[in-house]
Amino acid sequence: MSFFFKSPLDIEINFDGEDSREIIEVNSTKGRKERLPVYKDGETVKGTLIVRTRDNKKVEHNGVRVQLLGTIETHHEGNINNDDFLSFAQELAAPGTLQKSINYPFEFRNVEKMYESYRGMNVRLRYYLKVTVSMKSSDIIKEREIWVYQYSNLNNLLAESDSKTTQIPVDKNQSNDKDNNNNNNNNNNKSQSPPSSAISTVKMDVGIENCLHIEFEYSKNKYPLKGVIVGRIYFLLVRLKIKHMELSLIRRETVGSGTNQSSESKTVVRFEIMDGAPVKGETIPIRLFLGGFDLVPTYRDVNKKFSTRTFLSLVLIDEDARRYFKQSEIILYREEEK
Amino acid sequence: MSKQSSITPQEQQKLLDNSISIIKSEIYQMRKCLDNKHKLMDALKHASNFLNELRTSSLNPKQYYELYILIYDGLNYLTLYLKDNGNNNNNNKSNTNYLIDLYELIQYAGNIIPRLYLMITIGSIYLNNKDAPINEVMNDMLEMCKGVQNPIRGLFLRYYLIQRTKNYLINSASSNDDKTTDNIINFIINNFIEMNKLWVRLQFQGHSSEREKRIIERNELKILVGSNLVILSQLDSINLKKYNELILPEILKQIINCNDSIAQNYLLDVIIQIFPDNFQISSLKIFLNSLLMVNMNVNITLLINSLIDRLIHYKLRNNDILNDNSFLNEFIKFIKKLNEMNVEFSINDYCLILNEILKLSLIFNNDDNYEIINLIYQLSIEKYELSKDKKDSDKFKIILKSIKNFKNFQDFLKINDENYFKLFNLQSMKVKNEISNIIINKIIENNIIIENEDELDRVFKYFNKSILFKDGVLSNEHISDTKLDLFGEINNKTTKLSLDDNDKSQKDMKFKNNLKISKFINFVYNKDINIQRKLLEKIENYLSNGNEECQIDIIPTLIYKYMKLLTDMKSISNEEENIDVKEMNKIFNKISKLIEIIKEAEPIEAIRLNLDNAILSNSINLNNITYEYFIETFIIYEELIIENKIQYESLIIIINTLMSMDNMIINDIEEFDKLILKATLYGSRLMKKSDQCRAIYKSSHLWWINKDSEEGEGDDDEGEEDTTPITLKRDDKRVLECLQKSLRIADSISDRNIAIELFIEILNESVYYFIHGIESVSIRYLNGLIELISNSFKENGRSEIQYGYYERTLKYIKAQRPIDSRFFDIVTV
Amino acid sequence: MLIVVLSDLRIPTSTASLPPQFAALLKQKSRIDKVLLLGDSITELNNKSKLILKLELGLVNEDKGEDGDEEEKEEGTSDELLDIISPIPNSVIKIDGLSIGCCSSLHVPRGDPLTLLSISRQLNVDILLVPPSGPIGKSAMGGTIGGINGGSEAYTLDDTLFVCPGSATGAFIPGNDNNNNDSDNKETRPPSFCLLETIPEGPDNTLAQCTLYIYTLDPNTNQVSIDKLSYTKK
Repeated sequence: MSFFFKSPLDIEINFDGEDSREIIEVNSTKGRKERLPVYKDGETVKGTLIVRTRDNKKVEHNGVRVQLLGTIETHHEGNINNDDFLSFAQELAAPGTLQKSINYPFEFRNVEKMYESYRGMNVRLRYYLKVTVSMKSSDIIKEREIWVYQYSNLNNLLAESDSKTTQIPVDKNQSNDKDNNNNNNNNNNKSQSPPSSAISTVKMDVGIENCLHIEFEYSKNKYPLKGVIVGRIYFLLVRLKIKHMELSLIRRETVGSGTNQSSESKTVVRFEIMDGAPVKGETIPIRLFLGGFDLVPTYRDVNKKFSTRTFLSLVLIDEDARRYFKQSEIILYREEEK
Repeated sequence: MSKQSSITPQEQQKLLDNSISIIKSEIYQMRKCLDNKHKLMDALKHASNFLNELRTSSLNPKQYYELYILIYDGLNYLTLYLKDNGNNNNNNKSNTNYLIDLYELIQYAGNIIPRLYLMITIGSIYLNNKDAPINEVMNDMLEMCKGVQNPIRGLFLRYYLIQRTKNYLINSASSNDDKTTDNIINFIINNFIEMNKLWVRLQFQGHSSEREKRIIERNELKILVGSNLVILSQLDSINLKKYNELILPEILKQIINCNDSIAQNYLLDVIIQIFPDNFQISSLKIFLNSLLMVNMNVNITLLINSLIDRLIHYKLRNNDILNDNSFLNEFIKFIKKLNEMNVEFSINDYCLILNEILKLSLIFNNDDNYEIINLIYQLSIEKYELSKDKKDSDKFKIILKSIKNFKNFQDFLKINDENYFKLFNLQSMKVKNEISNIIINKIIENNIIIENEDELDRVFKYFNKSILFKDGVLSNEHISDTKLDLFGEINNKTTKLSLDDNDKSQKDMKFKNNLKISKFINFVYNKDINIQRKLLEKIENYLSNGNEECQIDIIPTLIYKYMKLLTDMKSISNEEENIDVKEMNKIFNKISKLIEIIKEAEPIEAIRLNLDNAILSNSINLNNITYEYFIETFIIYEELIIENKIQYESLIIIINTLMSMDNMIINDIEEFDKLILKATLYGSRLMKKSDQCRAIYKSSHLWWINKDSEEGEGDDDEGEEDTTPITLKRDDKRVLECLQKSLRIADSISDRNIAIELFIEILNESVYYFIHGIESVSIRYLNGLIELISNSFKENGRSEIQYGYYERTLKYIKAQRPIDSRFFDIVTV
Repeated sequence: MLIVVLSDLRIPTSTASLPPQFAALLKQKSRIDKVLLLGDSITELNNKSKLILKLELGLVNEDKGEDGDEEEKEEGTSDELLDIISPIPNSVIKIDGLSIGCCSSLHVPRGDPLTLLSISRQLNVDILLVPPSGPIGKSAMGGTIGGINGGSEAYTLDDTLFVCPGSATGAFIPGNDNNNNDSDNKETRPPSFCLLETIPEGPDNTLAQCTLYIYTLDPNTNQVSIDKLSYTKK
């Protein structure tokens, strides 16, 4: 774009009541913090555009337009795809001449914002205002991003839930490749599906035959982002020399669909819940406050472009630094604060 | 191999030093944040940093404790800050919220150790807030601590929990709110259970070759576990009911179930030491039952000892409070069950426990105790009968020795000692002797007078089987026990050597034992002379069935007791003016027979006894008996006294004794003259001339006998000291004859120095008679003696000793001149 | 020097032990230099008396429990720290420039100062220690102290100090009229012993001297009384 020369116009986008609006700080791609105003679904986006000319010169233009856009930007195998899922526009001025500064109020009334803003590893979902001043040579464009929260409550979450709980056996991750035995054949997969009503406790009974047998239980599989995961681990058989145990929350971002699909995971939280080796019969409590972490709600097939899911992973590390883990998905949602 | 075992002590020390410096610096940073800037979040970050040092696995418990102490101080500072901060904040509500937020906030800490230490720190402050959901907070802290399963780290963490909450627990439990108290009790017990589990588990950490090391580590950590119980014991509101129904059963259940001997040994002892005395007594049944269920490596005996010691001190301190001794039965039940459950239970320990029970029983006065005591003796016998090895009998020694602990030893003479005596009879001779010695010592110590036949029989029953025992050839028994070599053969050479040694110490031992019996006999006494006589006859009878050595050693004492009896009879007769001569004769006869028994072995002793009896019979005016005793003395003198020196000494005693036979001289002078002639004759037959000389000049006194004048005078003029003697016998001629004869013998001695010395002795003897006015010893005679002596000095030179003696004699003579003018006529140049 | 003088124990024939008050005094071994046990009438019996005295004072082990018994032991029992001397009759001991004569009852048949003077001349001594006289056990020196015959006694005669320590046990003597008539098994002869403190000739020409303490136990009150007497060598 035309940042190479000094723009003859200075454009400023202001929102109404910006000072009292909730602001979110997000990391920008350039590693800086960005402060963005937060909007809800259905909320009117209203504000004022200020266009100033430099040095009071007269500037000819072919019209001023403001757009509210929703875009999903995906990086996939080196390609960047932009896909607008939302686009509103408002013409603010017919072609003419600009001198000094002019204010243009704008308003997008009750905009439905289907998705929540998101900045992931390979995906960005963003909402922004785009101001275009059409010029003869090249247009002058100014963008300003807003952040959108998509609230839901447990009830409507349950209504739409397919109560599908992914069943994953305890995987033995050979981070220590030396002893690459086929132990995993013995994996004892006895995961239980949670009842479809899905608010009840999640119980899993996992283990490695003659080595480890634990029962893993937590209160539910759906949590608001500021919720607490409470649960316990009951050790039925311990023959491993366990050194410690931690919980991690892993965000998995999936881009594309069908055969083109690719996923990338990121550990958002690592949380030690046990130090030392328990003996048979021991119960270890779990309590993890989620509110302080950088978590995002669970999204499935956002505009058929991407998904973000969060997995709760229980990791046992033995004295030889081998890791044993068990993952299960938890559904996160944004709950409106009272 | 675990990391810890491969680390060297130097490396460990380095790690420790490093951790210490990190902790100190982080604490400093934390304080700075709190003091200057009130930057709580930053302070917490520093706290979390120093707490991270407690995550180490590389230090031993002592080193870890060093870190803990530093950190405790650091967190203390944080606690005080947060408390102050809360207090400054007038609004209690907001303070509560502030703490709740903080409590949640610190839970984001990724590592469990810092997270939990911080949780406890803040949670404990929260407990002091009345509006706080105290119970929930307590349970939450307790529950979350489960996340630390590493024994050392877990123990310290939970120790921190109990240390931090201690003040709250102690203060709140003293309120009257029963529910709160129960919650607090449960909280502590729960923490105790978890800590004990961790502590026991430590034993199984690491390689099995490090077992010893683990034991050392565990011992270093035991106080942490015990601290829970200590705090329990400090809760004021705990009453007997709570202790017996809630606390003790829970604690014991854990201790028993863990089945770990180190834990059981330590914790059971802690229970004994920290809970009040009356709790111990009321919970005895539960506690003792638990002891039956412990691991076989637990030293039950030690535990029982410390429990009983505790109860003994309780009783001694509060004699009035603890009167009901029925709890003793619990101990009896316990030991019975113990034996039923484990027939092989070590006899040694069994006896030690029984002994402790005995000790405890013996400090009670109640008569019911005698039953228990007897029962304990019976249990001992039963145990002994189960034993396959009869040598085990010695192990019951301590039970027998327990009589030392009788509060009133007189009781020993009263109790049913049937079982005790049975047990006694199972012992080796050595032990039996020892017990007899104890009995005697206690009687002497407590000045117990044996005054009837039952008591005498009771005591002699033991002596008869031990010290007095006839067939007990001690030395043989000893050899067969100890001198067999590996192959059961007696090694001749060593045996012979040790036999001599043995012999000497055996003899020594016997002498001491017999001395004890002799001493004991001094404690047999009844005012009533008839009973006393029966008692003495009983002793005599016992001795006559005893071994020879004891007869010889003990009979003299028995004789003196008979003599004392005679003296008492005499003084009673004096009052009643009716001397029972017949009975006295009988007793004197007995004495003669007794002397007969020992005279071969102890002739000198026999002479002395005869002479003492001569004195006694003379004082009772039984002159024919006196005469008999002298005759018996002469027979022994002639037949059994062989050595020159002893002959001389014996003869002098005979002469001295004869001089005191006042009644005989008065009433039976003819018999007396026979005796003194005989004695004088013995003098002339002595082997050495110097002895002859001295014996004869001493005999001269037999012809000139005075009696102290006070004798026979009324008590009314005791103030007046009339020393004019009454002359009983005076034969001046005989006196001179004796002096002359001794002078002749002296003169015939070729060693002139000896002769001169004897001359001077005779001169002194003569001066004595001269002073007393014996006419045959004249001035002429004295002057002759002096001349003889001075001439002898001229011939032989002045030997220093003799001349000094001579000069001192002359000086004495001169000194008499002002008093007695006759002395002017003695030539002293 | 501090020298204890004892005589006439009659243990065990007439009594079981020393009065506990005396035993306690005599067990303060560190302060006493010597114990003189005045001789029995027959020399040979002295060793036995000496052994018995040692047992009384806890100077030898009463019980050699070889299996490490918990038998209560007196301190220093094995080492014979205290020098017990049973002097042979008519022997002379020289201490701090004083000659002390020890005679046995053999030589003093009567309570008779003349005889004692004669012995002191013969032995050429400054102090003469005299046991209770003869088999009768009366005061060796003829006199009485406190009206009780057979007790302790001391006096100076002819520049010589005569000392009779009495009986350390006050035990029964057959035929002695002073034996009790009150039939309560108590002896009327009060137990007594002596302590001699000798001081050598001083550098400023002070003469050798000694102080005699007579310890007497009153059997009625159980109190120990101490009489003191000083003597300077002539």
